[in-house]
Amino acid sequence: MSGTVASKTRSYREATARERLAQLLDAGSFSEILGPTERVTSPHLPLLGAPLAFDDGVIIGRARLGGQPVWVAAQEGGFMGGAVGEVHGAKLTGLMACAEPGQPLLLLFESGGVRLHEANAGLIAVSEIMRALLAARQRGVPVLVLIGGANGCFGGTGILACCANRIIMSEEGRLAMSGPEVIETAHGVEEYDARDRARIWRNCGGKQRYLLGDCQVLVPDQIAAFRAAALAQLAQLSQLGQLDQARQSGQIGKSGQRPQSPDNGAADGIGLSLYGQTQEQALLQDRLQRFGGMDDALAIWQALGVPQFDELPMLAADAFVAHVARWRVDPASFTGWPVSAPVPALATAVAETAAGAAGAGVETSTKESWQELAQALFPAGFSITRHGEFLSGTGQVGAQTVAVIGTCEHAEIGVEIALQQAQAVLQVIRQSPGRAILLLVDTVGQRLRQRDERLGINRYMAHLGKCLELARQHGHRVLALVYDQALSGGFLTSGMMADECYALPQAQIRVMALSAMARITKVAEPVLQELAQSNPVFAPGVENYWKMGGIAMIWLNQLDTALMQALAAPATGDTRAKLGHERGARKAAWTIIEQVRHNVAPA
Amino acid sequence: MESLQFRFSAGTRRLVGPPVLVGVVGSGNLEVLLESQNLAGACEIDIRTQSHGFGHIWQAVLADFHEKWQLADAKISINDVGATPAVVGLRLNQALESAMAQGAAT
Repeated sequence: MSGTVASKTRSYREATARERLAQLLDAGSFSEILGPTERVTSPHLPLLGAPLAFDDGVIIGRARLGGQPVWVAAQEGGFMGGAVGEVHGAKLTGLMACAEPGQPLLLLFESGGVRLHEANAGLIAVSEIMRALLAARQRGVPVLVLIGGANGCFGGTGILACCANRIIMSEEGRLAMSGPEVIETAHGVEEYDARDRARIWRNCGGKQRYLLGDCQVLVPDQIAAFRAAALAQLAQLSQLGQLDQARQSGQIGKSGQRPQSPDNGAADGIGLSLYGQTQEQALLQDRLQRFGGMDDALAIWQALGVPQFDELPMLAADAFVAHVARWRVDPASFTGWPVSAPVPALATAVAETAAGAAGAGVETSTKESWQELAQALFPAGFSITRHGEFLSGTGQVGAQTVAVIGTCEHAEIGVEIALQQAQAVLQVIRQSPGRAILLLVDTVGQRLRQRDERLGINRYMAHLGKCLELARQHGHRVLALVYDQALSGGFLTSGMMADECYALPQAQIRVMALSAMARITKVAEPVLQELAQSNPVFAPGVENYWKMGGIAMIWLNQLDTALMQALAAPATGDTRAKLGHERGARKAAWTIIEQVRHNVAPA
Repeated sequence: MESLQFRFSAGTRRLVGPPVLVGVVGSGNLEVLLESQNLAGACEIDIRTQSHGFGHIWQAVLADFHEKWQLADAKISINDVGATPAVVGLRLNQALESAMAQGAAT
């Protein structure tokens, strides 16, 4: 810290977030927004007797990198594992709104995801960051994520990372969804041994992510190496931004076709595109088909054809990159399918179609809850097909046809069902311009399996979230209705990506059961139960999510009328923080987002 | 959590330059925020710690610190998660050295 060891080999992993920024950015260029002297700390942690940090575990501000103005954020993994609470999240959301077109966002992520001490507020905060990040990209803000801290990049932050344009990782960094401890707790040590470090890094360490094409660059664990890679990536992204502008002004290409160039052949532009998401769908589907049946990353590396694949974990970063250059899945040259052709269908379970015409019921004696729901929503008729736990089809609202995409039976969101939903969204964009989308949410969250983690379930979920954002950008209204259960990750990239999320009164929304929360936060369950009575931040339930702004409205009855009114209202952008402030249960977020947004400190 | 306040007077060393933050609020560690503030020549130290009942140890460590640096018009704020006295001393000195490197003390 004292500046005497600012050598070229200084470890990124071992440094604090502030040390990383000091050495990554141009010397003396960093200007912090809402820094520690402002003491904007968590309003929720004191109630649990938990320690506070003066910056709530995230540093945000503006700086220069190679002379270029950038906006930066760095999460401190040492404070609560870098997890996202209300204040922490609001600082990030506000920062996303600061960046102007062409000004890159540099995100140094190190986080376990949602901060369980602030469960509900943290979950909504992650969703707000996600929407703000994708909105920034849409404005032409390149987003670059750096991952190399000891705590990795997990949960909601693992999804957020995959919403960026580019990711730079070290071998030591990890990028995934559920941590090994969580999976071991859920399914036992036979499913995932949280102490088997070699296996964990094979599943989600930087090398695996580089081989599968989830990160663009793998660097040694040195701050200087991250800086050099960031400079190179920003230069490429700047070119990409210029191509975007040229395309928008009609000088090159059209209809989603991107011009070919060495580094953006199959990549997105700065913003999302139908072309980019179609390619990502193809890439993720290809990965699932080739590697979905394998039970160790070594088998994947062998299948890729990498020589001496079993020695990869021992190679230094530079030697590794050279060794695998021919064999890795390179996201920049993955060609997938022709842009014009639809992505091949996924293998799915036997379909059951339920259709209801006006006045006619479904011809079964035991109607499932989603069928009853569909009849209440679409008395004028619907045709919805169920493939396993995945629902898709259409419903009639007056003269309007609405696309229905969703899950049932408390679906676990694994890589398959995330892809199915994403594919359905892409089909609506392609085939039914402007058609409104209604997401029917019933999920117990992401599937907690080692295999899904190995495949990179966080990226599958991010892809679904991006497809929904793309639909919004293409002028589709996107509404969600939680009709049964909604938990954590599964909810983040479905219902919470909608323009507005609604819920039925009997629905269950939560991050995690109080008992599990007690185990992880080390706060006694009776204490949490008591807090849950008076404090919506800790308690599950639709009512609390409404008070915090996460649910726009609870639909009590006359669902068809409620849906019609929701469809008729114009989309208003992400108003959840404002609602949470007005309804009184999430007071800090809106104020902080506004404070950061209006910060105009010179760089 | 336990809150502790200490105040030392008759210091002679005034800090100039921007505030300094060192350390991390993690297990066995602490963060120290050092700011120059007009306190009628005093050095005030506010502590929020997860370890209860160690006021006398803090008193001893901080007295040593004050004797060494003689800070005046300085505000030190600490968030602690059970750091040992050695770590506390290390962080305090680190904060001071950092402040002096950045702004030069008088």
